[in-house]
Amino acid sequence: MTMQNHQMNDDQLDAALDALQPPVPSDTLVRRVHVMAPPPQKVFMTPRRSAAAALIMALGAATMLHMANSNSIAPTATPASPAPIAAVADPAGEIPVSDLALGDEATISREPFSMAGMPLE
Amino acid sequence: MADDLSDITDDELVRRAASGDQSAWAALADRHLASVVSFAWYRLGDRVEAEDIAQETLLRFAKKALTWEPDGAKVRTWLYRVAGNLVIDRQRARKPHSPLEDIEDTSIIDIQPHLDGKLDARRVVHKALIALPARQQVVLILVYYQGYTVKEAAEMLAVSEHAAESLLARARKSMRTALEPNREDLIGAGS
Repeated sequence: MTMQNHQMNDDQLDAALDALQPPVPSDTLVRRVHVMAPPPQKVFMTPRRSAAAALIMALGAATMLHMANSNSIAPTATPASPAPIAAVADPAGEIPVSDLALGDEATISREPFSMAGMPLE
Repeated sequence: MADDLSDITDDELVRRAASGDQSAWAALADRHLASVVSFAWYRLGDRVEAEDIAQETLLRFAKKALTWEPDGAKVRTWLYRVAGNLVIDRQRARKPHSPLEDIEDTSIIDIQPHLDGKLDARRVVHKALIALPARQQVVLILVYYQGYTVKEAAEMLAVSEHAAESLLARARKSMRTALEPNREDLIGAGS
């Protein structure tokens, strides 16, 4: 009678372990898992986000309204505007346009052109 | 459809799935589902519970995919960790009865009815496997049954490679000891 008290060797242990073969996933499980795909990412509105968005829109609207009102009010100091030609006492048209007070000194063209762009004599 | 995505990395599949690509999600699920099911089955010995755990794990991953960071943990590591935690939850919630009672009814999928000897071998081996300490059990499942390297198993368990090797050696030694009384039957059934 041979002694059987020695332990299993690696091959014998592997052979024993190989007796366990796991199940394959059922078709039902596969189908269920396939439909678990993550939902497409989308912006969702929490109450806090909704409140923040409403506040920003209100502030924007108020700012635009304020700017519109500001533009409708006549400025207290109007910029210097050229005096109307007709107001100049020069009925004969002898005064060169360049000499008329069309603006401040810095901006007046010294070229001898008339208002119509014609060279003056 | 999913075959076309077989060469794409897990991270890329996750990115596509998170942007609404159904086929990317299906490919990702097909790639990992069987591993998660078998991992849970080896640890619990119950096919129904194993599929429940796999389903819950993938469901959680579908939510996680929306915020997945590609340079972080590997997908399979994440899945195994979640599945492992769910296994522990099941073990804690179980009534004090042997999970092996369910094996005959739920996991016989490829054994012919007349192979009673092989069926007994499965029960004996599974009983020994489930009796192992958790970490030894996991390393043995990952390395022997699921084909991961010791290094990969170490990463999944968050232990050093040396520690994983030690766990594997102890697991095999424990299995030898546990299976020794049935040695003749097991060798005959396994060969």
